[in-house]
Amino acid sequence: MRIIIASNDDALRRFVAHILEGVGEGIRTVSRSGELLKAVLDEDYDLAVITLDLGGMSGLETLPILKRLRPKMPVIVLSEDNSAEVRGDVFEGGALHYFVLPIHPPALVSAVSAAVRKAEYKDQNPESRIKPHLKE
Amino acid sequence: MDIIVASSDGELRRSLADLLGRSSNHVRTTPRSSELIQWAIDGEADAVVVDVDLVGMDGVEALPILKQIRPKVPIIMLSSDTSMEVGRRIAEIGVFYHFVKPVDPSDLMQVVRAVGGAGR
Repeated sequence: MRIIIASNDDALRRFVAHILEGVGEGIRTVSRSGELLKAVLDEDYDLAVITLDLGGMSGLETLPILKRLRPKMPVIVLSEDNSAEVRGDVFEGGALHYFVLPIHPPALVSAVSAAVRKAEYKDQNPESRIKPHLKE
Repeated sequence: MDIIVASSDGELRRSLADLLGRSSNHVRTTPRSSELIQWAIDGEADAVVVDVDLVGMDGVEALPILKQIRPKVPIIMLSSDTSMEVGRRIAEIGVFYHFVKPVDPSDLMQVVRAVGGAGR
């Protein structure tokens, strides 16, 4: 599983990479929104973990673009902001999960593993997707 | 022509919108790199005028992303930086034309007309 981690916070980026070492095979870390978008345009990633503080555009600005470029790639957002407004914006932007820092490593690992299993299952079983427009 | 103008400089944005709008072009302007990228994803424009000075990512960082999303859209780059490094990075990625600010209106119109001609 290929994971990309984006955060302007060097220590946090390294810490998240360390936590996910056992889950992902190829982990890449970037600090800037531009690097993140370029990376997902150049290569396939199974999942992204991003913080809201990124170099260049903020995570909140980057998230909807990320989801438009790679709609199927699950995105997990980490932030120190626990406000309902930011939380709402993050989910509206297309994030799968939102974790308030400080991070609880087992919770992140289980969220990442579940997200990837779900994506793999959907890929292997396309008929499992809900198709409300086919329901009569 | 459908033209996008992206610059964090409000006065420059307004004057370019006014200048380019005179020749029956449809001009959209934005100060933000995020909006520029969103518009690029939305669809093809006939030309994009991008200032290095943008809110969010700067123009040099946005340029390769823009090129990858819309490889065929001609990009006219504006910069106030005359350094070799910025010039080299812009040239490496490849733009239709690179202006160093201040931009001469008649020169810009000539380049935009050339873009229109090349697209036909």
